Amino acid sequence: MTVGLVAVLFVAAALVAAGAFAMVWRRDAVAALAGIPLMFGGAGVAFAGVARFSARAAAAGAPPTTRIVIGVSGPPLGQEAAVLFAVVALAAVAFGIALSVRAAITSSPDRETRR
Amino acid sequence: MDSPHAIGFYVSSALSVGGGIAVAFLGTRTRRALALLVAGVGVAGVDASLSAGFAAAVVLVSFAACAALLARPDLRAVEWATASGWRQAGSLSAALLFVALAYAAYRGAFAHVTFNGGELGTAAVGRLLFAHDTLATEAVGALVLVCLVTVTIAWRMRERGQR
Repeated sequence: MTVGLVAVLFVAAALVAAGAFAMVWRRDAVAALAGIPLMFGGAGVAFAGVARFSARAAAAGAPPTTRIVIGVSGPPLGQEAAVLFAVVALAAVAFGIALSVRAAITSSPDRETRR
Repeated sequence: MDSPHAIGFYVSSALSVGGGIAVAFLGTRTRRALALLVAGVGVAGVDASLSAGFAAAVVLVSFAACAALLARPDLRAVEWATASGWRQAGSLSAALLFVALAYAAYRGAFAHVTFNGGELGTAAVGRLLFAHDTLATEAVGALVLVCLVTVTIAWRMRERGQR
């Protein structure tokens, strides 16, 4: 049993699609915010997978059909991107909640319901 | 990647995708937050099996914070003014997005390298974050600070409005 970059990218694509689906499917704006960390998490998984499997190969400028093996992997730029994506997801959720709280203040009371 | 790491990767993948789908379908706010936390554990497991232990820890903390923010009982629902046809079109678009990304991943020809980093990689990631890309790190930190201050101010305004 082994794992390759294609399997990692499949999982990342599924996470991004699940986050997008959660955002468009929920009628409640606060509930739709839960899709944001899923989408950023999927992007982070894709970056971490690229850093794990093919970081230096792209920098070497090899043709895309050539499978090469290089002894030293490059700096983990993908891991850095995954870390930054996770932090930005938290910021986006906090900002979205602030906007929804503001919208709940300004909207009429009959449109506000507890769920 | 050896077999224990591969098993951990597939189990974590199932957790993350299952939790993500449950976030879309579960009814109550507490259950959605719990599903988001499960998805976060899955994403962190995937990152950890990819030898990105530091990123896994940050992802876990981020998902837990998001779940805690979204599970607050005093949040009020704000309804989108969208028709069900648009929601169904958006759902189909999400499915098409998955198909397109999966096709691109399947058809892509990737070169492989031997990974020589450690399991956590904290030193290398720390050098990147605090030496190579310091400005980006500070910008993201400032963004988080501004957003958390904004949500705090919004909550305080609503509490004053309720008195």
